[in-house]
Amino acid sequence: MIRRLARRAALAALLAIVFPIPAWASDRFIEYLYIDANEGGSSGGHVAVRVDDDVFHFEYRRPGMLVLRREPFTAFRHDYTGLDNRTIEASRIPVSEATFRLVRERFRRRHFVQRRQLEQLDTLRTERRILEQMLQRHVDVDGAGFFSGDDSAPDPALAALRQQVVDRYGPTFLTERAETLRRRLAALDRAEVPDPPLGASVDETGAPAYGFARRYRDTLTALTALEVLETARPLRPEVTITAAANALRLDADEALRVQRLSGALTASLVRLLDSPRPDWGFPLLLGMARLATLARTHESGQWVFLDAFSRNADVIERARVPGRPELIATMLTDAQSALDIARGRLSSAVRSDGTFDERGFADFEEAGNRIAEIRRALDDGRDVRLPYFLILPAGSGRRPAVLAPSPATLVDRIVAAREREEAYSRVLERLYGYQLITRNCVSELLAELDAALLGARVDVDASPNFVPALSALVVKERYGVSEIVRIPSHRRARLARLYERENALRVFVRESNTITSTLYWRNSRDSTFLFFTDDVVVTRPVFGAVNLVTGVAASAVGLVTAPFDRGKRLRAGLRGAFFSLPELVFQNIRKGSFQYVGQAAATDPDIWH
Amino acid sequence: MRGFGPARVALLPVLFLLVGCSISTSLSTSSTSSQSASDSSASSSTSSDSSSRSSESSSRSSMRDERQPRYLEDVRRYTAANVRAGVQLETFEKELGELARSHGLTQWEDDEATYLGIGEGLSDAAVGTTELEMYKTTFSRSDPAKMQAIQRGYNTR
Repeated sequence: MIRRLARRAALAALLAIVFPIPAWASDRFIEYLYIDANEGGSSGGHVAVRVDDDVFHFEYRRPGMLVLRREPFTAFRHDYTGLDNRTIEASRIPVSEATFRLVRERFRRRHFVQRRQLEQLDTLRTERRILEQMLQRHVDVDGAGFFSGDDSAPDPALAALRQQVVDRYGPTFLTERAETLRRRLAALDRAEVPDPPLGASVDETGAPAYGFARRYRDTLTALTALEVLETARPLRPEVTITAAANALRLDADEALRVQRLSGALTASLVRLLDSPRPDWGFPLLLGMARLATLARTHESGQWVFLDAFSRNADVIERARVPGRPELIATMLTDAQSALDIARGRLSSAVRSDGTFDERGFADFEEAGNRIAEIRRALDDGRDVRLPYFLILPAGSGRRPAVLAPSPATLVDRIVAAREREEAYSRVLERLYGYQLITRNCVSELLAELDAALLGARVDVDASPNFVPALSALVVKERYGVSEIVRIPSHRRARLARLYERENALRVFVRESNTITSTLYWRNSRDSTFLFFTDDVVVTRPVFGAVNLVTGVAASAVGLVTAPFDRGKRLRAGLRGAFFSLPELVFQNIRKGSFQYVGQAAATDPDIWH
Repeated sequence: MRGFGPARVALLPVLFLLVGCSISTSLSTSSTSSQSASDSSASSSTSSDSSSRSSESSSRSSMRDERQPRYLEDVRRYTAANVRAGVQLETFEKELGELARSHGLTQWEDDEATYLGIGEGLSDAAVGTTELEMYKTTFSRSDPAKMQAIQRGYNTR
């Protein structure tokens, strides 16, 4: 007891020294976010720190590393309170302007250092994998998959680009450039990636390296790009996406704009061919693919885009689409809104200096993908891919390895590359290794806050601070929390609305379970359960018992269906039963998530603080 | 009411069993480039170099964030780190290409933010005015507009 009082007194003294300017003199604050427990990956809850628009949080990454993530608050909130349907409790800590900047820079710096170290590890892994592919006599090349084989009829847009290249650089340019690349491939035998440092710290980044295998692949990619341009290969139809939607129809102004965009992109690609940057192959392949889609857009009077969806995008299955008209309408509204904004910006996608604004075009391409995906699914009865992780179309394709070293040499290099990769992986695992109690998302976050706010780490003794659910209490005691704000989960926020508008008993009965609920539609990632228990206390054990029985019954059915659904139903049933157990003793680990949450709900000021 | 406040203490025995942080989902669902060739994780790209980098800028959220300020900040930090480490130009440009791609940009040479970020990074690396001229010429390949952008970035820090 005396020890604790002494520690508090010492802390108070420390705070007085560290914060000579009273925090109330500034309107700055940082927030400690506690995100409630979830049946999935964080059954003990999760924590994060918000500094202005940045949210920092440590995630567990297999096989056992804590990785600091940095996300914009809007995206974080949408992911956790929206899609994951979890309530966030924000403990607001007033700080001076100087402290605010110190905390922000400390987290940003640590994030940057670790990110770069992980990139180094990825680079080593990539080097090894390319070597393995070379041994198999083929290499995966981004951009190669956009185009058909060289026996197809030439694409007019690429033929026109080729002509511009010839006009600008001369008739032998492409041949000479390709020959230079082949010579480079043959001569590529530089030293491997330098060994990464055997030590690493959370403060220092290592220097990047550009090793043999990646040089080889970049050169091969450039060679592929030249071959595509030389033969003006057409796009493969399956790499594009369009739909007969009014929103994607060209009007007269836009038809002119498409021509201007094509002109600016062509000029940009012609310049790129003369660029000294070592990785110009993929930008050229992507640019040519986009140029071909612009030509198709002009011909058809309907926007055609490269398909930007991830190969393994989550989907709403086609059979469930007709039953989800509200959700589909919300997705369509969001996509239309994004398209309108991007369309406005697209008018400036050709800059005043005539260069191509790739960023503006990419935004439009992404929004167009979202519209086309939904319209196409509705018209053709397809699955709807969910618009997450949309990123640059990659068009990966496999091509034969040429002028590669001998198999014996490659085997030796693979062995060396694997050793380097494993050695550095061990270094990072030592530096960022996850420990259930002593080093988890809470302990690391508190350590950073201690260092930034108090100047030194406060010993945790044998306290249960490592539990996310309890850590906010520690934060309140340690850092002088002035206010606690709760941001309700998506379901609870909408439930509160329903209680305001309708008969409370009717709402309770209808929304308490997954069968009659109008707010929840079973997400295939969720466990099997019947009653929601996160918004009830008195009835929780009863609901929990029913959930337990439901989970056990679903598991029994799942045993039978396992050969047909790869055990999916069995796993969902077992998870449902397991996470119902705490409900029997009045505790709750929240169940039920959403596949999609609309932007209107995500930005509703009455719901989102 | 949910289990906030004192109720958390009652939750302790359960949490001892269930404590844990969020598991990173980004590697299984985002563009995880380098891993995808052999582990069949979700990916649109099989050969982009950095899964850390690509997962960095992605989110399950379909909400748009302001990409340009983050890109500029990243270019600044990468430039400062590379200049301090004495990294070769070719390696720096390769890294810049990967970084830009993670921000949805492939033709970074046409983007002014790249050169503003480089200028800011040079300033962060405490490059003196004499060295600055050399770096301006090198990074911009003597393009006057790009040199100006680097200078502007340098002056803002």
